[in-house]
Amino acid sequence: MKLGLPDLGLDDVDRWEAQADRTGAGTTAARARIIAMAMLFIFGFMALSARAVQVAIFRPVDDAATAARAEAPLAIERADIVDRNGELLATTLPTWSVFADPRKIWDARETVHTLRTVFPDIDANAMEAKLESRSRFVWIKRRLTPAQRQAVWALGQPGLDFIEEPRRIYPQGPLAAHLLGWTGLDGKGASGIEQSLNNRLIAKGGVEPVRLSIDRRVQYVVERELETLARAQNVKGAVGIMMDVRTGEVLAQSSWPTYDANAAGRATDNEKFNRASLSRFEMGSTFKVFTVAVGLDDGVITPSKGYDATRALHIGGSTIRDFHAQNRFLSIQEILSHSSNIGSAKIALDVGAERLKEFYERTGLLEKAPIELNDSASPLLPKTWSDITVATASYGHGIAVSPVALLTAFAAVTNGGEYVTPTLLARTTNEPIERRRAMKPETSAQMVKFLRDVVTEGTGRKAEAEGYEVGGKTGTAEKSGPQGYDSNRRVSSFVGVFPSSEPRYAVLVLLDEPQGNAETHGLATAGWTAAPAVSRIVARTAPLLGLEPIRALALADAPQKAAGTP
Amino acid sequence: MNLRRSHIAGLAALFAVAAGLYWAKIEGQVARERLTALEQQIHADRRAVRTLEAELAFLERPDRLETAATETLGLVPIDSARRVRLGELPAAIAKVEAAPKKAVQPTPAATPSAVPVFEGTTRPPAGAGLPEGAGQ
Repeated sequence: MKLGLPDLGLDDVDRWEAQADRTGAGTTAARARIIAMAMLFIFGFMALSARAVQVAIFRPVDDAATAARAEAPLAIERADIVDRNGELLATTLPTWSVFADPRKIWDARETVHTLRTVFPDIDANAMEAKLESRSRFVWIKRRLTPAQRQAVWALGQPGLDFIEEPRRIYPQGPLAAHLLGWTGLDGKGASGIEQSLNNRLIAKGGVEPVRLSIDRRVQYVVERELETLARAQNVKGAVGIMMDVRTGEVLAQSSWPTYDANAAGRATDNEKFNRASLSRFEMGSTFKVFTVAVGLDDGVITPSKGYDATRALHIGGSTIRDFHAQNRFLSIQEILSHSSNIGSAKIALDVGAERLKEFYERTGLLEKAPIELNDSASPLLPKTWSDITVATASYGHGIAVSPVALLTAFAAVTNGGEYVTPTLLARTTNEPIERRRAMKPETSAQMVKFLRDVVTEGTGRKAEAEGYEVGGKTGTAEKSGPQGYDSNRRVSSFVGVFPSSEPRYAVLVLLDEPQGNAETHGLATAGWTAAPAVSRIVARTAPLLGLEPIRALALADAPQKAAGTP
Repeated sequence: MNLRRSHIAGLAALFAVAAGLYWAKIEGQVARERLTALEQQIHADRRAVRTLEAELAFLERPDRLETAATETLGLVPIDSARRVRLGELPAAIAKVEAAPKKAVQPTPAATPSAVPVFEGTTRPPAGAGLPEGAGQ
């Protein structure tokens, strides 16, 4: 009996068939086997075909596998911060960090040697030890610049590789550093806007940039003038702020000393301290603006009324004197322009404690300035509002507020009498602005006139910027120390508004302990230090803000024949 | 016979549908891969744009521009005295022309190689002289 397949040689088949013909039964059995084999093959191939069709046509596409072939995209999940004109202030960029796999390094010494040509600050011995260790991952350098990455690549050393890591970049360097703040190693905001608006910055995957009210150019001018002044006066600290009095938008907010936002880790605490919103000062005479305003608003005083300032004022055991003593009867305008403490104290006493306090509240002086920063300081207020505290508060002593709160209140006095909530974010045109009435519009108009007089004929003459009608008030306060007020440690400030005929912008320059120099004849008072800085800031920023100089140009003295030209 | 023809037709239709499905699937796959590639390209371009924007902002730093403007070009910040409205221009030029003798005289030979300084209203641009009689 033949079992299984015979040789398939043709001759063999012929012979086999010939033999099968001779034996009928054997032939039938052989055919059955052939058919069985054929069927096996047919079914086998059919199964394969079916599977092929299923795979090629009916199997669902594995999207994940397709996507995995794509390079994993870098998650830039933090939004940019831009200024009011869309100029970039903070952004996130992919950077590369270089690491080594010590097992793939064949000569640690040479690797370190070549690496030091790119990063001279690498500790050779420590790095060599690390590269000879048995670990599989050693950081060489984090967050390279593109040039450094190229240089490392060019070394051609085996065992070195790159990992992508996002990094927060502040392209403007120190510009508005205090305002922007910084992010920690975990990428979360740890200070400034980065901290206070952290949730907004990471919302929607960081696609929408956050637009600040800051104008980069104005911010620069303010910082620049502040820096020049701070160095000339050898101050402990300085603040410069500019605000749109109609919208409450802060156009510039700067604190000196400052630091490079890209290297916040290397800055000292003193440099990082945001004096504009987090410091509190007894502001001194700039507070007389509020005293006169509340007096006018209540009708307690009128522009034509005056006070006797011939003698020092005694309240309880204290004596109030004038710094620029005139020793005569002073009109309300003179109380401001000569900065009379006696006059201002008398107004405040006539107004009364309750009303003065209420007025401070309406202008936001009793609360921390509601700007979008976590670090905004609450004011230091007197515990009781007795006659003496009312009298001293009227000229800015015994009450300490932050510079940004002072400027916000000043804006309310000069913008027609409305307290406008200050903001660091750019307002959109149709957004309703939160505001409340702080005084009558007529009071505000009268105050602006008084403030203009302070600059044209009072203590603030050096604040004038030709064509921009600066109005304002000087303030020189003595700082209190362990032995009471110290006449050698002062806070000099000037708070101004321009243009007076149609107030648009308020400016504050404040110096913490100015020393005076030859240029100011050794004087450290506000009229000689802060006021000239305000003048320079106004002169430089007004053209940037699109303000036209208000004056009959210098052509008034042009030849008569020219005036007749059609 | 009829049965056989319809069998063949049915089989042909089956093959056609199978082939069509296969083709559609392959096309889909190709399109998907192209999409992925394009998305990657967009992503890479976006990153490049971000980097370039940051570099631009870095190069446009106000302190850098100020240094370039003052030291290289000799420019100074605008002050209000240098601003004139278009309508006031004839009067401004007339004023300059009325007093040029003492101011302009020494300049032609004295500053041949000096850094060019734009003096605003004090020096009218070349060729901007007023027509005869404009000053009357």
